[in-house]
Amino acid sequence: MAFAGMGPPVTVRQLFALMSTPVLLFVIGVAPVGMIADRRSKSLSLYLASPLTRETYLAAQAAAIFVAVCLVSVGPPLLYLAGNAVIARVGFGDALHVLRLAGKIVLSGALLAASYATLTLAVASFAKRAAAASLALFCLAGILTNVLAAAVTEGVSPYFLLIDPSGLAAELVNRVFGPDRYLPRADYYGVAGYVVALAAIAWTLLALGAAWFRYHRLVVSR
Amino acid sequence: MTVIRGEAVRKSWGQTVALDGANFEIGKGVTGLLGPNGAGKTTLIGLILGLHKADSGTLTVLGSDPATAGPDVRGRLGYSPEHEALPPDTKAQDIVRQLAEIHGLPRKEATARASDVLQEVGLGEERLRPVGTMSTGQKQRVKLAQAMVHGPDIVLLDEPTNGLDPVQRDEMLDLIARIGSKLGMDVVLCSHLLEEVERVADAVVILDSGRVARQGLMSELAGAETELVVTLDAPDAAAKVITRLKRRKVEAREENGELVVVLTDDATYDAVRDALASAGAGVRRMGRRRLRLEDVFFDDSGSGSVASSRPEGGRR
Repeated sequence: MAFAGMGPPVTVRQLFALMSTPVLLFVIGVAPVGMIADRRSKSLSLYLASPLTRETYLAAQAAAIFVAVCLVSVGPPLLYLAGNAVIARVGFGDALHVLRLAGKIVLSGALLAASYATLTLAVASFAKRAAAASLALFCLAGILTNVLAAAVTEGVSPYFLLIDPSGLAAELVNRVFGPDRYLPRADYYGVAGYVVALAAIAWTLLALGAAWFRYHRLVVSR
Repeated sequence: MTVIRGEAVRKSWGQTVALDGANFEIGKGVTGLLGPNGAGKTTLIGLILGLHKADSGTLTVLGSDPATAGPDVRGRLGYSPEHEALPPDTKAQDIVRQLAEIHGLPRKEATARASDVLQEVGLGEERLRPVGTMSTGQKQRVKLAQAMVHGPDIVLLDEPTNGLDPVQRDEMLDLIARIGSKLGMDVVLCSHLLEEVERVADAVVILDSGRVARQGLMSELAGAETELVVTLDAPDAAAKVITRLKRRKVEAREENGELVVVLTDDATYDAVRDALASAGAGVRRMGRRRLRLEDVFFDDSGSGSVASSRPEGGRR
């Protein structure tokens, strides 16, 4: 989906795909640190001795990670879009197109951030150290995605891709923007959109449930 | 007035029984929660905060059950944990302000309150330093500051003098006494040190092996039984004096060659004077001795694991 009438070097969709690597690096390197630091420094006992509950604490952490990832996933493509719109001096007709693109960017970024935030929440709940959480996230979001994509290319059923939460998030972005023939992607051929969405929702709920289970059982003052 | 009440409170961690049917009442003022390590003090604090649920029994904090009304109860409590619980890279002012905000104070007010309360605990100059660069004493003060920044009704302090040198300990105890008197907050002081509870507490709950060994006002537990200790010229004269005192219904006994008389009123002094004169016993030294919390504790629990700064010989 090229930017209408201006011929920019990359489309917004392509920029979004390019941004997925920095987003992933941010998620792997930065996102789990806060939660683990709270447990390691035992500040968690101070937070839970306040009107916060375990659930509201987790919700606050999830929101914090979500907003931070959104800044990385949504911010640059939106700036790129706005910059191009200003340079091209878009008219009324193009403005609607720009708004539609902006909506897709926000939706895609939010989906990506929500997926990564819940995944981070689950991993950071169980990991004792930030490095271990980063490694686990790298394995989940980096290695698993590529291994499954390669397996599907070799003829394994594309439904196996549904066990990859990170890949599902990327596929949701694909479905929002539509296919781009210049971008490499895992082959979800034949997997219906609603199946991808349901799998993504299931992963999100599973990750949230795992985090809740861990914190529900956590003894913070004994 | 009772602010915290527990009836038959029981809590186990796996096979370990931390609280075994504890019955207690904590009133206004400063209350010492005293007991050896492993007596169940920290578990009780966790239950009061609603951080875990009791297996059985009833616990009421400020009229509510913390297990079901946790956020409301915790909003009225301040808590300073035993362990280090402050993020080392954060400035003291920031962590105190942040916790004030979590307790519902608007940011501007939280900032002002954080400054005030850090000043109150003697960290006015140090408030912009990262907690990780502070001494143990300063960290304990930051923990105290964050516990009282939102103006709670009750402040729960779990071993607040841990790791402090004697001077810092004295200062901390003075601070705690001031919180109870000047700032009008009720304080629950968890400690295994008898002396510090004696020094600042109005009342005490003594826990031993998950049970309440004894509780009550300090004046009732320790102060009522003041004794008169008389060292006689001839220790064998003590028996004669005791016989004469018993005739006048004054309780007395011999202890380590000294005559020990339980003081009930001023007339007891007259009775002692008369008994000494009538027995012809010469007096070398005479002095009053107040029963200490340590005596109460050892009488009741028989435990020797509560630390005391007094030497062995100081115990009756």
